[in-house]
Amino acid sequence: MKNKKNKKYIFSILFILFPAICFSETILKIGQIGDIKSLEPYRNAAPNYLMIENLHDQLLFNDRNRGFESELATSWKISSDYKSVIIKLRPGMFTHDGTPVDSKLLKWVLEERGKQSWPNITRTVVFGKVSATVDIIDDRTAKINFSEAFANMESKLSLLILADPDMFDKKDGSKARFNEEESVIGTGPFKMVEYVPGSHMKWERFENYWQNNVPKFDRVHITYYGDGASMMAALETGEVDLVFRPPYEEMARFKNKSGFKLWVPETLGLSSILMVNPNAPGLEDSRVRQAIRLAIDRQAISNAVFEGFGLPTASPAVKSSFAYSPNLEVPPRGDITKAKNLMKQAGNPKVSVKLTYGSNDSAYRMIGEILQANLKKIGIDLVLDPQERNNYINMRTSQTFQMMPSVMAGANGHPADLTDSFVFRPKDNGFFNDPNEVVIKEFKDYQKWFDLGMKAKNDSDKKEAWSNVLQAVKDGSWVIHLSGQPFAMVSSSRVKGITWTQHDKPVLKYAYID
Amino acid sequence: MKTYLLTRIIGLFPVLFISSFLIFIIIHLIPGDPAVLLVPLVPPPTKEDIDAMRALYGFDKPILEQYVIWLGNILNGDLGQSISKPSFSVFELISSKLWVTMHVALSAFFVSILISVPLGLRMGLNPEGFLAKKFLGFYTGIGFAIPSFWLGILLILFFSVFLGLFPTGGFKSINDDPLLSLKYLFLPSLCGGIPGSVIYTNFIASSVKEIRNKEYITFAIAKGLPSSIVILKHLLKNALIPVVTVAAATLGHTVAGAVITEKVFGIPGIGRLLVDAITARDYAVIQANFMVIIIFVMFANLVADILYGWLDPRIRLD
Repeated sequence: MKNKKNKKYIFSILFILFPAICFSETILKIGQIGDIKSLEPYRNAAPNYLMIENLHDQLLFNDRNRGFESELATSWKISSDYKSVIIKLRPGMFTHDGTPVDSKLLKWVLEERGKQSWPNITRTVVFGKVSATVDIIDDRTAKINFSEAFANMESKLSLLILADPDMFDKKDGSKARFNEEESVIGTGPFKMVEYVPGSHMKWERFENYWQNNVPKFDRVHITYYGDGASMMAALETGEVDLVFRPPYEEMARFKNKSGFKLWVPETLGLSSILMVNPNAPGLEDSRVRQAIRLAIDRQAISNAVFEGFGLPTASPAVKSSFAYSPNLEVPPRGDITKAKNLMKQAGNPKVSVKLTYGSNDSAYRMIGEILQANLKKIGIDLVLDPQERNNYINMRTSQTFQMMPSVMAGANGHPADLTDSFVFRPKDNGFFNDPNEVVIKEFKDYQKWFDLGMKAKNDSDKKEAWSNVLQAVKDGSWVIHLSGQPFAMVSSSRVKGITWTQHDKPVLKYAYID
Repeated sequence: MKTYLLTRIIGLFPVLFISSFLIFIIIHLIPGDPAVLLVPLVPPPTKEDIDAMRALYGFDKPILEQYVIWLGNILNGDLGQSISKPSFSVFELISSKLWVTMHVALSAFFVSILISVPLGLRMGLNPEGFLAKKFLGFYTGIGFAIPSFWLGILLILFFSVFLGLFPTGGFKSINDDPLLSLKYLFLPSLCGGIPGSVIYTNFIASSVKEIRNKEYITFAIAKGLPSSIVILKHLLKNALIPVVTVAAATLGHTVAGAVITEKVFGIPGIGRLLVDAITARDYAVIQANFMVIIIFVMFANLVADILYGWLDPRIRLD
């Protein structure tokens, strides 16, 4: 009798628990410092990375081995002059609000948005100021024509997002800003269901996603924290499972902490750089700029600023790139003897320069202090010039600085990717305000090699062209590479597996959690 | 009383007008061009790109003309559009955030009162005791010397990480789940409330100390009234008069001071909105935010004046 009763109880409990077990949702909770900059997918600021990579899909997926896989596009045929590409889109794809992803959408993204008063960020960020037209061949096939060649065409296609027009226009077409009701309408594995500025964003799995069996969980909750200490405390208490871009000192603390895992991409796609204005007094001489490049203790920067997670390198391209050359490297601790010799050849000029950086950025301040000590050894007096963030950006944009630390993306990919980071193309991008044309005059072949690099058809031509461009950097161009910069995540042991794109953006659709 | 109220309310308008002008001018004088922050940096923008962005938002107009346009829009109930969060109007942002900040400010105020009234009363009644002699100095020192952000982090480490009792941050509205909301508000209100409680405790202690020797208190005791009645009805009521006015005035500042509490605890209130807007040079949001804080402080001061007259009939408001 008693046994029967017990069985009854057990069945009742199982009956209650069964739906709870079967239908419970798995949620990945993420913390990050600071809110996103904008819902615009091409506001390519670091806080937007999670959103860019997971609410949107690109035409191609650029993996960490510099390979390109099909994403929205199933095939792509690049013309021999690198000026056009025929794209075949995957069949049966829809945006989060059910709009078909077809050739018309591709044409709208590349052509129509340019007509809006809001600048066509999609096109300018991906393809620079190069004009693009789209010929529709059929529903799923289109030809994109560019006014200039792109040696890194695949890399560019891996950045092109096809977002829904409703995301950018009011229904009545009155304002070319974001539609408040629709917010983000992408094509990615997750769709946005809630966004409270300064607080959080919630996503859920996109049921009509083209790829089967991904993502492996149902929801993502992202909480925006005011500072690193609060965010890491939330990770420790289990309020979040994963934190995106933790402070470097916290990375060191969590590296060996039990129950947590530190995720750092093996190759670092971001570089810390030092921009040197060749028009600044004392810096016009390329030998002085070369001496600065040699005198820097990159190991100290990696140890002190990036807590040992940085990768000391003076090369604009990482080892995995076909354009990498060991000749471009400098010993991690620097080469003071060579640097002094170069200064001697330049006539030991008395150089005093300002290093301008954002006053809220402690990493730049630390880099500045290390550089100050390093450059003193070769007779250069470096004055630290912290500026309020907006002034700093203003000075960077107007190029009224003498020296300035910054960050550059694209080191993992094709050397032409570096053009996006205004490293190359002195004529168009680099010191475009260069009134004395210092860089252009000194490196007159620079632009020629760059142009050849963009059009090179075979591997040996490519390598030669790009190695010459990179050589110009070594010879005293205006960008000095300091260190690969880690862009990490820390998670609880609940999170298993994270995939990164080549540009250090985390891809959550392949992640799985307990 | 009515005339007094009317005069005070009318007097608020010129103050508001002057404040709005000063805020507008000062904000626009801060170095940094919002147009530069709005244009994509990759590829590097040209002067034409920046000028186009400036024209789009009207930043190319003379500053006085911009002010007149802004004021006109405000009088028509239009606070403008956020430039850093283009999906949201300033009204939407401010109204949703103000509700959050009110949670934090009022709960911090409540915590201040909850700590300071019993503590101040005890210290005032027994000025030679341990609390008044030793603890008050220590508490005042700690309350004033520890910066709010540091106090917040200490509270998180102790209550959340070490004891695991409260969430490290975030916000839940009292409308959605009152109990959960209180759980989320506990640490921020303690962080925001402790500095205020130090002020009130000192006020209450000295006020009680002064009043307890008054003749009417001696008379009440001599009449044989229970001590609880003497303390609560005769002593505390009179001792709280100066505190009420200070409290009403500081409540306004609590809203302004929520910036730090909100940042440490990740609360999406107007304080955090203000910091983000300043960084992004989002003029419309900064201006509206400051106006809200000014209105709140002015309103709190007005309430303080009215309460003062109401609590102490010797003060004639007319």
